[in-house]
Amino acid sequence: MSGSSRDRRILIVDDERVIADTLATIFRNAGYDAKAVYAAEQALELLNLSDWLPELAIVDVRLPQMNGVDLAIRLRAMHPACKLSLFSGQPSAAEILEMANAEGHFFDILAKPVHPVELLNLAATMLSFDPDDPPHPA
Amino acid sequence: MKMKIVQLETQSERSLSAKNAFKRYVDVTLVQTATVEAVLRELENGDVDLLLCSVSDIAPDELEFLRERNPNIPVVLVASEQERLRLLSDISLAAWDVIVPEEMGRLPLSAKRAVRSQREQRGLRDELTQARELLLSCQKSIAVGRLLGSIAHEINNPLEAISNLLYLGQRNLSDETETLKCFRMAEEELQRVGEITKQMLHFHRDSKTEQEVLLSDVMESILVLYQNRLDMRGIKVIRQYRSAQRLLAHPGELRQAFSNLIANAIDAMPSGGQLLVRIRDGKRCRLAVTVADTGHGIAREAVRRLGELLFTTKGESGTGLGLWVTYQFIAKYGGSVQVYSSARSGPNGTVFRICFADSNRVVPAAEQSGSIKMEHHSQERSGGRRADEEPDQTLKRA
Repeated sequence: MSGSSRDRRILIVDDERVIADTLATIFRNAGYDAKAVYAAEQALELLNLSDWLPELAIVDVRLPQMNGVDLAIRLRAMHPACKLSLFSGQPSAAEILEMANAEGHFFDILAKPVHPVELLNLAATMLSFDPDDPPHPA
Repeated sequence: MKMKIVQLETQSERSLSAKNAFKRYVDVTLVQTATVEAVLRELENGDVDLLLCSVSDIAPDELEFLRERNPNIPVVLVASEQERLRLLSDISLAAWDVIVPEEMGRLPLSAKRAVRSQREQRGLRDELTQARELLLSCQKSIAVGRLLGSIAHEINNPLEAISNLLYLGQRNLSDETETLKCFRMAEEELQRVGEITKQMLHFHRDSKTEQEVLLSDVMESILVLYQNRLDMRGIKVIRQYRSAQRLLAHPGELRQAFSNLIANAIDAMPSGGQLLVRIRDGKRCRLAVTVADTGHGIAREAVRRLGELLFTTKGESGTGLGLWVTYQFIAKYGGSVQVYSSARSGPNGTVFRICFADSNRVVPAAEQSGSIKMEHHSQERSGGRRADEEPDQTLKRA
């Protein structure tokens, strides 16, 4: 049981470390293989240097250097099978997203704060993983 | 039209003809006096609409003095034909009309016109004052609106962290240390939200009284609110707070004035740069504030017009209110603004230097034992508030 869920790899990218770390913990508690990084560059480095490839990436739009939308565009090109979910704490993210839309890149965006249960449900749906049957009941 | 006229006249003949001229106007009160002192006493009552006097009864400097003290009271002079010609050839004549004794019959009409014109002017002035106040408060709303995007992030991120931490804490109830850790961190995040909302409220709430304000406090309260925008653009903030003097002012107005400078500096640096905020003591300029950016600069023609109402260099997205408000408030507190800007290629940017030189406004640092507490302000800080912290390893896998 746990074997299959461990395969569900989730990458969380958020420069707010508390958010990235807590989300990774929450996903790991629910049986996922989750990693947290704090910058787009770190995410790219991780994907380039290891054979760990996420099936879902949850990416904050506002990141210190390369922004989350640009990272998502790169991720999609590098690894088309990876599902993407953007989230953001501010309305101005809509502008970045519109710019991406204009260039033919479409992403869904979640508005922070998102309740962890909501994120777990979202991940489950996106990865067609049944959250009612978690390998490690918390 | 009801009006009160004070007449200074030593020649009884002229007094009489003035009296006769107004005889049939019951709502005109004519007070006749023979000395300048008596005129001054009347003017002190504050209800005088017009001053009527013979040129021969008042020295030019006395007249000037009266005009300066009472700029809103029109003066009608009575003069001989010869005096009249001389007076009318002087462009600086500060009188509404000059009447010769033979023409005293047209005095009521002239007086009525003078008083009506004066009242209209006063009405316009009042309207102008109201409009100015309205604009000042409008700009405040615009500034607050501009901040909201920034604030939303500062509130929503801690909220996200809090809901994650509470979720983890609840799931970890069996492990007391881990639960406590989560709750403590949640508390910290909650404080962060509280700090932001407090600053935001500060921004909007004006205390009605002037206080002795430490300008570095004002700057910090602004920079906290713009932290996110500064981070996003990779703008490095250099703080040089080297004054312990205070400025007697409304903190809210200072916050509004400086906030516009900071917001403009950020706008000028879309792809990063340096923002210098310096506060220091000076000799001629007792308290000097510098806000400098390394942004795109302002064209020379535009620099001259900065602070003009409705003048903007930002096209559609500008209101032409921000700097106007800044200049208004700085002038209110006896300050002056100097701008240096370079929009050429190469090293460029804009420097605003504000000088508070009014000794009634600048309050020297109180004689304190020990040094002034400024440590937390004096260091240079860049990037996000958490950028220099170690990655959080405290949350272990359950």
